[in-house]
Amino acid sequence: MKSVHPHKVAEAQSRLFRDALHQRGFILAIFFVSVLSGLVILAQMYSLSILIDAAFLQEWIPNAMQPWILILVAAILVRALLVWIRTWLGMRLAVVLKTEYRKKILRKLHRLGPVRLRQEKTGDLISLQLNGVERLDDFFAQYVPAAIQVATIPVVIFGFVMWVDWPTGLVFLITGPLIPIFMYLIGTKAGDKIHEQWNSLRRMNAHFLDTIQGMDTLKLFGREKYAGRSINNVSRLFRVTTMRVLKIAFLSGMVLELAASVSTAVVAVEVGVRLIEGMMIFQTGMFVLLLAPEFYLPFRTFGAAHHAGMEGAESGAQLFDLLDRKEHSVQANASKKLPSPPFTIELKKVEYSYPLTEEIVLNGVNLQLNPGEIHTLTGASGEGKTTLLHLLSKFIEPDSGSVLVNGRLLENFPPDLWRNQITYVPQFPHLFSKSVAENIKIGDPDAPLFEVAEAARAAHAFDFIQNMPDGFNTMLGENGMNLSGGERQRIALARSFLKQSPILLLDEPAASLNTELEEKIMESLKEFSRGRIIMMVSHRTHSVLASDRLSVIKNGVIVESGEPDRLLPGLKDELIFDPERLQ
Amino acid sequence: MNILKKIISELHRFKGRVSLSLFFVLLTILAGVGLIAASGYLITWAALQPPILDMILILVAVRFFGISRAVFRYTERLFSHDLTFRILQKLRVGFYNAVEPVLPAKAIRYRSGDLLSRFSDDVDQLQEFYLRVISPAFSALFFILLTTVVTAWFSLTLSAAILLLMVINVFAIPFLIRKKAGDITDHLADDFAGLSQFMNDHVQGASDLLHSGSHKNWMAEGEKAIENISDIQKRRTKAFSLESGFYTAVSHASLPASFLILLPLVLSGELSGLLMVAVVLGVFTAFEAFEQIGNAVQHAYETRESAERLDDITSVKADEKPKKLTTVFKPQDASISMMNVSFSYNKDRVLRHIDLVIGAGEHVLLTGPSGSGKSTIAHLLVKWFEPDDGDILIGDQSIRMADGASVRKFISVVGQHTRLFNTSLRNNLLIANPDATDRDLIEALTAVRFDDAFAKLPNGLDTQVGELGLRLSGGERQRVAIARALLKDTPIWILDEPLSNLGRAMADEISESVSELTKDKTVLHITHDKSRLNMADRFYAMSDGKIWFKRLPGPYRVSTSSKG
Repeated sequence: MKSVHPHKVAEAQSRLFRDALHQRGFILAIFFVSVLSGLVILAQMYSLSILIDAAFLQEWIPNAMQPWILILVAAILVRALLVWIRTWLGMRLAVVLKTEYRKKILRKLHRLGPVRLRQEKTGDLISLQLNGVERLDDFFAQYVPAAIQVATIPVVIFGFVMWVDWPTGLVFLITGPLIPIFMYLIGTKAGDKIHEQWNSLRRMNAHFLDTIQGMDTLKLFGREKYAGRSINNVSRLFRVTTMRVLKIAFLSGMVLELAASVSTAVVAVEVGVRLIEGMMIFQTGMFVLLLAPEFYLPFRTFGAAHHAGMEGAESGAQLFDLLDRKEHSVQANASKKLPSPPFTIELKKVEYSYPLTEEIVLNGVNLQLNPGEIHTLTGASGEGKTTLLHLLSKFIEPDSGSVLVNGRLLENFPPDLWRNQITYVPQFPHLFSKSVAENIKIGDPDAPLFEVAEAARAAHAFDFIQNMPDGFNTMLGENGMNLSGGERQRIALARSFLKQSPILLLDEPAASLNTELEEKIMESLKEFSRGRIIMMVSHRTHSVLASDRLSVIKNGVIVESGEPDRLLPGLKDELIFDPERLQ
Repeated sequence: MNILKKIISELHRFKGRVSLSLFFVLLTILAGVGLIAASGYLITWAALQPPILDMILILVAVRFFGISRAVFRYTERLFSHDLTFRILQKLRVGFYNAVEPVLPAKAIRYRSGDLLSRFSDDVDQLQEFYLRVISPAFSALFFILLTTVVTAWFSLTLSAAILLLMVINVFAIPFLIRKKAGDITDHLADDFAGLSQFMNDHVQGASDLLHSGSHKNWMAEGEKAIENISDIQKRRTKAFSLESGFYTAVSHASLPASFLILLPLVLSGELSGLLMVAVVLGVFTAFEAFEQIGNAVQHAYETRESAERLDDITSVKADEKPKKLTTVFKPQDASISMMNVSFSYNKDRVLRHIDLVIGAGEHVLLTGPSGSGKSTIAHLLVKWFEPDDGDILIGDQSIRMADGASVRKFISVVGQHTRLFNTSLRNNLLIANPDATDRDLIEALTAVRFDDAFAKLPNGLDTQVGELGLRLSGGERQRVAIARALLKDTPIWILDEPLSNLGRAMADEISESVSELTKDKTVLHITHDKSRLNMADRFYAMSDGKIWFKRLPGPYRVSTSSKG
């Protein structure tokens, strides 16, 4: 796990707490159950003290004692019941909130979109969604209920003890608040030290993780044995320094324990002395003695839950880090309606630079895309071809200039509605862990099978799909069959033929195909292009020749644009590349 | 290697420390029991109003227990944490040694990044095995024994009753609850796997989805997966919350049980009331020893799962085992030839009958669309994998029987994602050549034109590069990677898409310095960018695991070098 800045953890902690408090029903129920528990503890210990008194000092009259035995047993049963309910409420609260966070993550990722997601490792995101959220469990199931208990049970007990035996109440009054004060100190000074140390433990974990994940780099430099020794040394050094810190840090924990157990001892001695002096009756003394550990128990539980709470908060900090990520602001004047197709798209002086490096990618691009036209874009790697496709999909917004759709500004359209008009076939399309048919039907989930087959045929995918073990029902994706780049693209192409969207964006659709297939697919596209915009990035002669218009991008501007057969001879080998031309 | 067995054997090695630590756990609980029992005894006796001098001993005992409990607890925490760190150290080293031979092959083979991103959680889980499983389990057993023996001295019935209650608490409840929850938990694992799969599609296929227009259905599917987990967890809360209720009921039941069993003895005068109070309260407090047992059982289950996953990473299948390597690897020159090489991951054929020749000192460009198998060729050359078929020669010597490390001595790789370790810039460079002086390092940085960026670094070579080197820009990281290759100074360079993450201007600049620095080297440059053609003597194009086009030594480099 990545290490998180301490103040972010503290922030996350209070935010998690607030989120818990918003679950009013649960919080009130836990509060109510805790108050009841306090009362039941009083009943339990009172009846026990009566029984002990009767057995030891008074005369034991079975009939008179029977009700007290019943009360004792009943109190224990009710107490157990209340513990059960409180635990259940806490766990339930955790489940409800975890579910809520998981959905929030899902929606956030959806809104962030693929361009921003590219900077994240998929594994990290999955791990946050699964393990990260799961680590919040202890925070809600233990820490929050423990905090409510510490605010209720000791108060009930203290109030009652004040009433029956105020000197003992005074002992509680003096020592009770000491514990939260010490706990506050744990939460700050010594706690900071422990926390710092846990953080460096995490850093050491990170070092270990770093080493293992960087094994390829280590091996390439022949340093794998050295790194193994270094793990040993780092771990040993860490233990030595940590133990030095813990020796001091644990002292504060000891003070907490000491406060609880010494106070119990003080109550015992103080009650004992007053009994000897005959200043109080035995039954009352027994009663308050039995209550002493119960008074301190919630504090100790809270102290123990504190650590769990901190770990949860650390996970929370990572969670909030993702949830607070900036996303697209939908324009205030966003119109709900799109113009109806066919579309004409016009790019005017579009500029864009990478947000992190501020490197200029597009430096005033002018381009017009007409319906019924296959428009091919070519240019060297890194010249911003893919960036242009992202702009058209509204994954990113231009820094300046405008994109007009039928004369209206693209930035005013809601992204979801707009993307629905587009199909995008990337160079290496993603295969979902579903069947071939379902993978094609992502474009149109309700399409009948014959249409799916038709689309596959148009994409020249039908034959190889038929040859797969289960035909259209063959499972694909991580747990299924793996396909080659060309096959993937043809599946994605079938997807777009099925969806029949007015705009089709293709990123090097022919890169993995032989010339024959390339020609066939271009024919399909040609037919499909009627009334549609097809924008394609390509470097292949046949694709270029089959398109209606060719534009060349260089240094962030369109340097040439026109009929392919007129432009083609002037282009350099490295831009338009085909075996025939080289051989 | 079985990781759990390893931990237990490590514990055996530390038996002195383990015993000390356990001893203090017991003392802590004993002091708690003593405090309550002695306090009860004290005030009961006090009710008889004896002379206070008679009570000195019990007063001292109460004070002693009151103070010692905290001290014992403190000592115990120190010992157990020290022990945990010691185990952790052994565990890490052991795990490292176990995965070192199988990485990075295994991580590449199972493409999902999951394999390595989960394991740090799993190692975290294991490190607390002693603290959270062994120690509570041991103290629970000890207190069952101790209480049974001590109470037997007062009454056999009491002893039997308490034994029964304790056994219910320690054995029956946690295991029954987990048996009940077990079936549910199995479903949970499936549903987590389902959500993980969904997330993978959701992130990787984000752009496919957003364009599909059916993302509403898709989101509904995702929320459904989350709801499924939530439903199962809700069912599980019913089982798990029962545990704490049962635990409270059973441990508190010891109060009326021991009271009622001892009552006749007190009434008949066989047992003093003082002792009865002490025993009733003491026995009740002893149940404190079982507080953690539910967690311990839970933790044990989870630890077993973690250990299984870790075993999975470290396990080596027969076909992945390195063969006995006999040859001393001493290639005559830096030429490379791959002859009829085929290779597959699991069942997918990645390379089919590859023939590829690079003469010593030649620059060869290998291009092809993503997923066509270009990088796999590089993986085979550095021996992450062995080809299924065919042979690879370096300097006319087959690398098949040579040890991977000795082959890699001749090869530098600059990849797409340069991995920098979270340490100083100096250490990141030194891994390429531990003997290099600061001057060598700065020379290398200057050669790759990192000098301007270097001047801006706050602490020069001591600058921390940050987690995964993210504090440096993409171009800077690639320059550091090239500097490292320079420092390693090998005759063969493999460039695997080193420029593909950079903008055009930056890519051109770096490309230029690389061609200059590798003038006399054998270079295999893998790229999907055909505009780099002018850098090559020879040119191969790949698609779907096959080389479908090659251009023999041609005028490219000659013409450009004559130009420059």
